[in-house]
Order: sequence, then C-alpha cells, then structure tokens
Amino acid sequence: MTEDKELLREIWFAKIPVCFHLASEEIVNFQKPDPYYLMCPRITYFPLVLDKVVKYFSRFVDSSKQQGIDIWIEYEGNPVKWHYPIGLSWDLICDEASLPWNLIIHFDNFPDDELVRCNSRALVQSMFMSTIKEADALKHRSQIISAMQKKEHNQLWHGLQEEKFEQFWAVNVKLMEHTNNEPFRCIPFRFYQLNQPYIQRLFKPLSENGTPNTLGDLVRQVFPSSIEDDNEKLTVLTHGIQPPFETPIHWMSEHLSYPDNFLHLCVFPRKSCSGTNQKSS
Amino acid sequence: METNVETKPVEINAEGELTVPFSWRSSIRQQLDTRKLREEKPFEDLINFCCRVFALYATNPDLGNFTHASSEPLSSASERSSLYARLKEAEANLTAAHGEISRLEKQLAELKTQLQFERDEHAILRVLYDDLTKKLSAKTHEADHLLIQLKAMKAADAEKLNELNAREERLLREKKRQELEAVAAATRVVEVEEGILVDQGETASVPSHVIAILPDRMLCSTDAHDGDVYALRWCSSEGSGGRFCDLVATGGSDRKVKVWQVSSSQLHMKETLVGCNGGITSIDCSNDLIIASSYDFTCRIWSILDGKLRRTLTGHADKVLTVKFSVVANRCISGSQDRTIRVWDYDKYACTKTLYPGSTCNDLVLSKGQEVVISGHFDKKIRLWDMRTECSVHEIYLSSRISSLDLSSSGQYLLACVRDDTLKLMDLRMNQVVKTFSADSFKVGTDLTKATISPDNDHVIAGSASGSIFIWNVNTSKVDRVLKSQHNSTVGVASWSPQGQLVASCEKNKKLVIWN
Repeated sequence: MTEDKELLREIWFAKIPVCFHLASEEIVNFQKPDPYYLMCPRITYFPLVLDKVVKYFSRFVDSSKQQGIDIWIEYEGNPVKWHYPIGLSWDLICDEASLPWNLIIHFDNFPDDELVRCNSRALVQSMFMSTIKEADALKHRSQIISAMQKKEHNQLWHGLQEEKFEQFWAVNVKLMEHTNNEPFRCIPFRFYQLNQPYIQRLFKPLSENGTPNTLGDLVRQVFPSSIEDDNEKLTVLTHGIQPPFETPIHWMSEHLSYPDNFLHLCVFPRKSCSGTNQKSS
Repeated sequence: METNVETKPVEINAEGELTVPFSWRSSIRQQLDTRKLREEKPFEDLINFCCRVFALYATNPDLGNFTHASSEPLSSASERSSLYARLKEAEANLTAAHGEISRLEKQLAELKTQLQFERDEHAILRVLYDDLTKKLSAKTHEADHLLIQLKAMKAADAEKLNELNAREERLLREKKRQELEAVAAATRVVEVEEGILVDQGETASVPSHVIAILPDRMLCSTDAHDGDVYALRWCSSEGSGGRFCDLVATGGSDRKVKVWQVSSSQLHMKETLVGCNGGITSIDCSNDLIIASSYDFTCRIWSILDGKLRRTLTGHADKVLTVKFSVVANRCISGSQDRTIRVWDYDKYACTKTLYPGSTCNDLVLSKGQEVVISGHFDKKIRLWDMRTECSVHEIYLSSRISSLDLSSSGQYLLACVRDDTLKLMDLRMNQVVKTFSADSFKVGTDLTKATISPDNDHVIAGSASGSIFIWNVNTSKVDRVLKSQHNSTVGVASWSPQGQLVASCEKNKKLVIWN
C-alpha cells in the first residue's frame, strides 16, 4: 500500500490559499490593514490556524475586543462554520475562480443565532474527539477507541494540531484496521449540500450478496431519485476531487476520510451533460 | 473542474498490473495532482513569502513604519490634505482653549483677591467678637458678684428689719402695759359701781357687770369688702373697757382682713391686713395679734398695732375654714377642708400636732382653761378632743351638718348652728342638747354661717338667709327680736361686742352693719 500511503500524505498535506481581510467597520485605526495571506491545511479547522492572523489584526480593532473572544469568519455575508474542516468548507463553496479564498475576519457582532461561539482550542479538541468516537462507534462499536489510552487520544489531537502526519497516522492506523479481517460494520459518512443540514445514514460496506458496495451504491441509496437511466444527476466532491462512483466505499473510508474518520462528501447537482461520464464503460 | 480528468479509460499501475478494476484509484490520484496544481502551486511561494514579510514586520515594527511612511505619500495625498485641515482645526481649537485658560486665570485671580478681602474682614470680625466675648464674661462676672452682694445686703436688711420689729414690739408692749396699768386703776372704780347695779345669776369667770343689750336700730354701716364678707370678729377680748373694745375685724373674699373702729356711730377703718392669696374664712384675736384662715391653705398672723404680717402657717392641703388662738402661749388650732385639725406653734412656724377627724371641720372652739377642742363637722358630728391623748373623746351626733360653734362665757354651754335651720344649745357636762332654737323664716344660708351667744349668756343670735337677724331668748327658747331691712342677702355672722352694747353683723354682699 505504498502508493496508498503516498495518497494519504497528499490528502494530509493539501492546502488552500486563503486571504484574510479585517471587517472594515471594525477598524479603529486611520490606516486600513493589509490583508493577511495564509496557506491553510484542508484537513484542519479554522480556530487552529488563526492565531497569527488574530494577533496581526488585533492591533487595528477596538481595545475591548482585542482578546478575540467574539472572533468569527465571514464569506460573502455568511458566517463560516468553524467546526467544519477547512477543506469541507471550501468544497461546499467551490468557486475556484476566486482563489485565493477571500475571507473577512470579525472581532465583534458575533452572529449568535447562526454560530456556536468557539472560545478555546479545548472546545475544538472535544468536538474533534467526539466525532472520532462516533466514527469508531459506527465502524467497530467503539471497541478500538475505548481500548486506547489517554496518551493515544492526545497523540491523535496533537498530530492534527501540529500537522504531524506520522504522529497522527501511527495511532489512526489502528482505527482504520480491519479487526479479525472483518470489514467495518458501517461506513461513517456525511453528505453536505449547500445551505442544508448534512445527511448521515447507516451504510454497510458489503452488499447483501457479499460484493463490496461502491460510492455509486451509497449515492443511490441516499438519493434514490438521483439516478435515472445510467445518467447520474449528482456529482460528489471531497478533498477537491470527484471520486469515481465505482470506487469501493470501504477503500474510500480508509483513505479519503478526514482526520475525524468521517467521509465528508459534498453533493452538487451535475451541471448539464458536458461533464465527463464517470462510469467506466 | 471535472473536465480535466479521465483522459484514459484504462491505466497501468506501478506494478504493471492491469488496473481496469482500479481505474477509480488512478482517477483519484490524477485528480489530486491537478488539484495540487490548481490550488497550491500558484500561491504557495507567494503566500509563504508574504508570511515571512509579516513575521519580519511583527518582530521589527520600525521596519513596518518605514515601509508605511515610504508608501504613504504616494497613496494618500488627499489624506494628507485632510490631515492638514484637521491640524489647522486643532490649532484653532488650541488657541481658543488658551484664550479660555487666560480668561479663567484672570477670573481666578479676581476671586482670590476677593477671598483675601473676605478673609481680612473675617479676621477683623473675629477679633471684635473675641473682644466682645471677653467683655461679656467680665460683665457676667460682675453681675454674679453684684448678685451675691445684693443677697448679702438683703439678708442684712432683713436682719435689721427683724431687729427693728422686735424693738418696736418691745416698746409697744411696754407702752401697753403702762396703759393697762393706768386703765386697770381707772376701771376698778367702774367695776365696783357696775357690780352693784347689775347682778347676773351666772357666776364663773364671766364678768358679772356685762349685760347684752338687745339692739333695735342700726348704728352705722359700711361696705366693708369688695366681695363677700365671710368672717367677723370683735377684737377686744383682753381690752376690757380699754381702747380696743370697739374694734371689729372682718375678712372677705377680697383676701383682706380689715380692722374697724366703732366710735360714736361711725366706722373708721383702722387697718387693712394683706398677705392672703385667697378668701378669708375666719378670724381670731389674741392680745394684739390677729389670725385669719384662708382659702389659700394657710393661716396668717398680723399685729394689730402696726398691721404687719408676722407669721404664715402652711401645711394644710386644702382650704382652711377656721382658726382659733389657744390659751396656751404661741399656740393656735386650725380646721380645714382637708379633714384634719392642726395645732400650731406659731413662734416656731411649726405644726406640732395633727388630729384626724376624717371630715371637713367647719368650726372649732377651745374650752377655756382645759385642753379640750370641740370641732363641728360636715358629717353632722361634734367631736370633743382631749389634746393630751390626741383622740376624739366624745362625739355628739346632730341632725345635719354643723356650720358653727360657740361657747358660752362660762364654758358650760355650747351653741351649734345646724344646717337644718336650727340652733342647738348643748350642756357640755352631759353632752346633750338642752335647747333648740328655730323660727319659721329662719334659714341658715351657708356652711360658714356663725351663730353666737351673747356675753351675758341670755340670748343667742344668728343671721338668716333672707337678711334678717334673729335673737332668741335662751331661757324661753322664743324669738325675742328680729332685725330686718338692713341686709339684703345672707347674713354670715352676727355677734355681740364683748361688752354687750353693740352687735355687728355682716352679709354676703359687702356690707357690715353695727346695731345698737
């Protein structure tokens, strides 16, 4: 699986160029600050990369807000969810013409009705660990994650936080293993559509007759009306790529999952027929 | 974005395997590569450089300022002009503020000088105040001193006055003694003459020559007091035939005791004795002293000779209704509405004894020579007291409350005026009523109405509520004479003079009448 390991590295180290602007109404200096550019890892979360940005911009805002308790990020008028991995947020918007991704950072006027406040890294950590546990509950009835020591949990978190591939995967590989050569019980996945709540179902990696289920099978099950006459109306995007529908779902779960062990799949209606047919003929 | 994938339907992987079933894998790999080219490569170097610049800027802020300064003129000429405008505005503000400051300073200086003035003034006033305070304290001292001196002088004055009084008294007594001796020498002859002419059945201590003449006409009258006349007394008990024989003392609600001299059908007011703060209820004489009981709870003693107040006896808790001198020296006895009878030693200003009859004492008399006090009370009883035992030795119960008592000159008979419009004569040896006097139109007017026995013990006299005066014969118990048409209101007291020639009566309405 050397090539697969290479693929995992590609997924892990993928980055998106982001350009942060300070919300103009919150500038108290005479001078407008220059935008701050950053390459953000796709697999991590915004609260983990914003430290330098916040420090840079805090000089330009009102002194009472400099602690950054009310920080939030806006994209074209909508708040960006900090608890989504950065790659997922970008895939959902998916406007490659606008690279680098222009985001507006706010220190004030927190949209309490739309967003949960994120005050500390500990909050992100507990969110991340609970998602991993949920994923393992689907895959192995929580057997593996529960058997792990506290140290290994911390190793997972610190691997993510410090973007250390080896450190993270040394533990994460246990979560991806087949115990007793059995496949996962269910595949942890979430389907995202723009401006809608995500969809999560129970889906087994093998069909009833023992053949491995594919991405296409999953899409067909979750969106029964999406496929008519061998012509899919939907495209699925994750990590900035469109995995072919025949890709075995088990393999995807092992290789294309985010560090929280979930497949975060964005679903779009297919734009006309100009797109290439993904099915191998 | 999906256009640049899947150029080859079939691919061979690194191991040379036919990977038709795995074409999805190569597709994924290819897509990842193109993604990297698309999203990362164009920006990576630039952004990393940018980050390095920012890091440098963060560690070295001066550099940042420099870069800003150099870039500013190009970017913001308009900004600068606006800044200039603001600067000018600020300067203008500053000069205005300076003006304000100088104005305020001037004002402050003015206020300071004013304050200084006020302070000076305050200091001056303070000095003045201190000076005045000192003066005041000096004056107060002086006043205290003067007061003390005044007190001392007053004390000295009083002493002197006392001395003077004592001397005067001594002189008067001396003079009187001489006069008495002279008079005694003179009357001895008369007595002998009269003794031959008149011979009364009564013996004892009564002078045998005394005959009570039944009056039939008014000798003279006057308005004695401004208000009611309650009390009347002939003041000639000792002066037998002397100068005092024709003195009448009256007392009334105008708080005064007046002493009148009756001489040849005229009344001369000899003395007005003042000092009481209430109406006079009864009067008694002894030698040259007059005692009067008053509504102001006191008894007062004056000297007839000079009309000066000598003693004030206080101690009763209510109106004093009667007072009498005792035969014992310096003693008098008073009866009061406070239901007590008090015995006083007036030289010592002291109450020496108190009797508790338990009822208002309207009148009292003292038996001659004996230590017996007879008192008449509101509760219809006459009480006889032995002064040695301080308790009631006998009680005589009458039909109504007793307004007055009088003792015959022999001391054997007691006349009581009773409010059932009768007079009762009692024999003190038996303590029994022996005679009762009454008349159809005779009404006892007040609780202070006094009935008296004539000096020769043959008649009794009393004033009625109608203004008539009734005289009864003791032996027959019949009315001998009625004196009318001089009094218009209740007659309080009617009494013979000790010599028996004159009768004095007083009525409620100011009037004093002398009958002949």
